Amino acid sequence: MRLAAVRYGLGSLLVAAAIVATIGLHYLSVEHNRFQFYAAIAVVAWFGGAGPGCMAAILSTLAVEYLFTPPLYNLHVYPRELPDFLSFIACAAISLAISTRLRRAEQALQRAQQTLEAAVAQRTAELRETNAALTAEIVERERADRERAASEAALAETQAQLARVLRLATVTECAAVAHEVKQPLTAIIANAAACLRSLDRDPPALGLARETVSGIVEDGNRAAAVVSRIGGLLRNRRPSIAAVDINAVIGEVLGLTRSAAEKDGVAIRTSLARSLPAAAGDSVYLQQVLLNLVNNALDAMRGVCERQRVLTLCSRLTPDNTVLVEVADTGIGLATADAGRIFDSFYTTKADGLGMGLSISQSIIAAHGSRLWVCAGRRPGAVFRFTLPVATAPST
Amino acid sequence: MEAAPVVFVIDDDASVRSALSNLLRSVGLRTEVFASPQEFMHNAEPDGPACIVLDVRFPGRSGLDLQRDLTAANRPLPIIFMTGHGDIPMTVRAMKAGAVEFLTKPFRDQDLLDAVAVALDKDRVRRAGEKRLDELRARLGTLTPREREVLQLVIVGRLNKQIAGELGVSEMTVKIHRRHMMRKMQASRIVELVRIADQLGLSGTAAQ
Repeated sequence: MRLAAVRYGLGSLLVAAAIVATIGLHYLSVEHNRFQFYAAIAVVAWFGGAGPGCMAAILSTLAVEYLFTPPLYNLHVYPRELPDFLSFIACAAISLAISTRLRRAEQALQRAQQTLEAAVAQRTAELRETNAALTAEIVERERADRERAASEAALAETQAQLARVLRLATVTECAAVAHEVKQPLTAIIANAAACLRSLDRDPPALGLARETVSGIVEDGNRAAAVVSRIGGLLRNRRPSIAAVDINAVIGEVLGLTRSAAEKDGVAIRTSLARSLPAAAGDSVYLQQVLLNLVNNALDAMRGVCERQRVLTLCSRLTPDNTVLVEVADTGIGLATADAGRIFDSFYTTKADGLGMGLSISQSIIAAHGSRLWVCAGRRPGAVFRFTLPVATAPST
Repeated sequence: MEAAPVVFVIDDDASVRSALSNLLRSVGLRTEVFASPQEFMHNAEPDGPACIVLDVRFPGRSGLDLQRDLTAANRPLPIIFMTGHGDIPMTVRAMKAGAVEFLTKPFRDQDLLDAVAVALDKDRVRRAGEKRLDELRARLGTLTPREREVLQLVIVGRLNKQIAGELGVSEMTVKIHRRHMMRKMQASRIVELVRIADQLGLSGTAAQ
């Protein structure tokens, strides 16, 4: 509204300026000059639009008629002045029309230009957005590629580690077999050699030869028993969950480790619950876990001289109906720093350890849906415990 | 003459010790078997050349401990060690402490028999040396105190006159003591007497 008032006001001022200019020109004896009015109308129409233009034209016509067309200072027109006046009106109308039309064309052009610019800006913005989205997508895809590569590498690493573990486990077990077999083998070789030498004597020492051969038979059987007993641990097989007498498994493991324990001067104590329900598990894998725990216990006690070396194996039924197995030693125990990491692969506190035993044992127990954990003993040493679910069909 | 050589087999595995005993008996050696070093320590001193075939690992005291104990007790019997694991540091320790051989189970019969032969020879030489020393000690024991004094002075090179002066007796008396002393020590010449005194550890500087 204010803008409109300004436009009309400016129109009136310009017309007034034209009047002043015409009066000025009269004094300079320039008669019948009406161009300042046309200019004022054109300028007002151009800048103010059609409305102020019309007003300026009407004001100019009135001013020309009143002030400059004889008879002066009234609204009459002498007939001889009429063509002049009418030509003024026509010229004023024409300059109004031309200026208005030009202004409209100019405005239309401006609008078109603005629309175009807006459209271009919008398209540019859209393009920019699309571009940004594309860039983001590329980054995302690259990240996804990297992640996939990383996870593939991690998988490959895990598989390689697993393969290594299996190989190491096999090597370790083979070393155990080799050691268990060495004693009877030594005896067999010595007896066989003794037999040959007895027979070569003149006369042959048949009594001694007989004695040596019976020794060979005995030790051959002993070696075979060791191999078949440990062979069960080596067989690569899937776990098969069945009802297991955990006390029997403990007995087998003690059978395998008793001689090592005796050599180390370790006293073995057992506290096995009688009438323990059968546990649900794979006896061969459980044997492996127990063997590992017992061997760890023996290793832990090797450096201990100031107290008695005692290995304790317990089994019992817990109040929440699981079978609990406990392997306790009086060895060097666990530093708190180690306690959190002992179940990690390749983490070891032994000079010649592989760091695999507890890691494998824990995965085996986890595969049984249970857990293996370590707790500080009341006495010096370490206590390892694991639980097993009770077999659904109870043994009677 | 010499008592038959004996081989002591010490292993906690019954079948290993009986098999090793069989092998040694098949070549005519006398054997005695023990299940532990402690059991062996109670055994009486052998009267002939002997050696020990010993497993390294035992509950309680190890084979290396027995080796140390025997050396400390002045019973330096040659030892052949056996082990189930080829443990290099242990081998080094045993060999440094004078072991004859270190065999890794299972071993060839000939390796054991060769080692036993070497060990028995070593013990035979040691026993011969000890026997001679005992004999020389016995000879020394027959000397009177005066004869012993004369001996001490003779082996550091004193003349009869000097000895007579030092002991405050006549030269003739010295000559008589000296003749008796040489006869009892079964030495025909001074050089021989000096060697005997050396074997007995009679220091030439003692009398000075």
